[in-house]
Amino acid sequence: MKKISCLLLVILMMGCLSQQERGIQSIDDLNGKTIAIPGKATVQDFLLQRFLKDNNITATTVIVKPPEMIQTLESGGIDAFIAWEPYPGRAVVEGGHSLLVTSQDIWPHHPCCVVAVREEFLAEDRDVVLAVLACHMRATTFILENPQEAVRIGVDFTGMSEEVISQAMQTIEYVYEPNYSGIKEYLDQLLDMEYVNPSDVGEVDTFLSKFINSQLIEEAATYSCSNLDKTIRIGYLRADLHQLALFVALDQGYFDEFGLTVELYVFSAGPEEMDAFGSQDIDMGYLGIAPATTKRLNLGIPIVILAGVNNEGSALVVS
Amino acid sequence: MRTHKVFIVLTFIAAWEVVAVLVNSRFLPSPLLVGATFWGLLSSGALLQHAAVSLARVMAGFLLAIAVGLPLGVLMGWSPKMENFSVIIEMLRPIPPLAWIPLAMLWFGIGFQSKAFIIFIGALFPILSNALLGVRETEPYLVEAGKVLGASDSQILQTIILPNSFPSILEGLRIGLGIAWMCLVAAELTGLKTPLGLGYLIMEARDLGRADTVMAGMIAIGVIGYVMNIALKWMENRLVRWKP
Repeated sequence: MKKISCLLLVILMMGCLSQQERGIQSIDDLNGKTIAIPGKATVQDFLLQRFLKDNNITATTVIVKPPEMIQTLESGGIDAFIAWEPYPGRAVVEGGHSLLVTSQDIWPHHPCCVVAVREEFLAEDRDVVLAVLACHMRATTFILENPQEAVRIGVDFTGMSEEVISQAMQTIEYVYEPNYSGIKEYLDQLLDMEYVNPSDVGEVDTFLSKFINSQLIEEAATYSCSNLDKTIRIGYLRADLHQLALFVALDQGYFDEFGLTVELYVFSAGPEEMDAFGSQDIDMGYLGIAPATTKRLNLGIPIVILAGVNNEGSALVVS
Repeated sequence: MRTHKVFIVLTFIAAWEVVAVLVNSRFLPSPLLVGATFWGLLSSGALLQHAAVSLARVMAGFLLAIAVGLPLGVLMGWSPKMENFSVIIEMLRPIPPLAWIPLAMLWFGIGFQSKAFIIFIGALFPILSNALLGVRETEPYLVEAGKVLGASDSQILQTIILPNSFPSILEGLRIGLGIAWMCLVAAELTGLKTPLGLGYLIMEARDLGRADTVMAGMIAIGVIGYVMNIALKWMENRLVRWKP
């Protein structure tokens, strides 16, 4: 009887050990694994493909909405996920999971979210656009100068704990200048990945000079006005800490100072937000550069990139 | 009759082409472009792969719904005591199968089981209700006659009630399969462990902004649904030819 129990114990221990061995500890362990992305043509899809290619790894990618990623990782449905902050931060703080690589490791200072506007709206309401950009610049500066206060606003915006937000904000670089060369690099790779057609792009610099408007942000730096008395419809992504500037501007009443009323529209991922641009349901929006570029080209949705929002700020999480 | 149908389909496609040319937007791809995309997907084998995975998910959920729904429906129609349980069924029935998606993902993850579960929920209620209805609508005099002639309960069930409720049961299966097919696509629009399936094809194309692929996926779903319906109708006609 004793022998049998000993044997069972040994088998059980071996089982536990082999279970542990199956965990992902190094980049090479990702080979043949299933990794979740928030959507095709998202910044995270883009970063993951770049990372897999750079490291010569083949893995299956599946689409899972970021709020469901941690739970899916824990139930064993996926082996890893790549998402925008604060989901990686939350996985670390609340789930005890680890970051295998951050997006900084994949591509240092890579651009991520941007502020976009519908071409038509820009032509009609240039003043409103300038005011929103001014608020965006001011809010970004606020985040850099008052990180403690920014964490509080981040907690309100995402509904996550202070610990999670503090951890998550460490990997995000908040910016407002549009990053021309970074966006060009995205476009080159999107062409490589065959997400967009060369015939739609034409000459790359000609396309980008129309797609990115770097002048308005300079103009916005000195823009002032107090009685616009207009409503602006702005899209953003659910609990995306990259887009904190929008919520800082709301919290600090920057839009009110220009006489702007903001109507907010929330989306689960950038490609969805692009559809709302296409149907003219939003005028401006915070979203990832990859879906903005992909759908600008593939569906011909007329938008212009006016400002950067953040660099880096995504990470690959393993359990 | 058949030439009429062909004519209608061709007119529809022609009208679509005209509208697409007039609108001239990537939001509405022309039937020619969609046809080319469809053919491309078909000849590369990708479409068949997506369709096969989708069909497997549907069949798993559908067969499970039959296994649970048929006996339960017959039992509830047959026994007055069991019929009291219909209050639960009536409460669960109005909940759209898609409302179960968050729970399905929690309980079964993003793999095969959660898709099969959603399809099971969708197909269960029409199968169950139609079986119940079929049994209940059996003429009482037939049952009485059986009893008078000394048939046992199981004999009555097998030789009178089941054959009588057969048309209704088959109708339930047909509706159930239709709903199962619809649920599948929606279930595939959310998380998936294997990146395959017609719903997944559509979602991926949506993210990439490829309206032609979205439409090609929709057409594949329509064609398969149409063929399945015809097959079941044919079966119905053959199996219950005796019923007026």
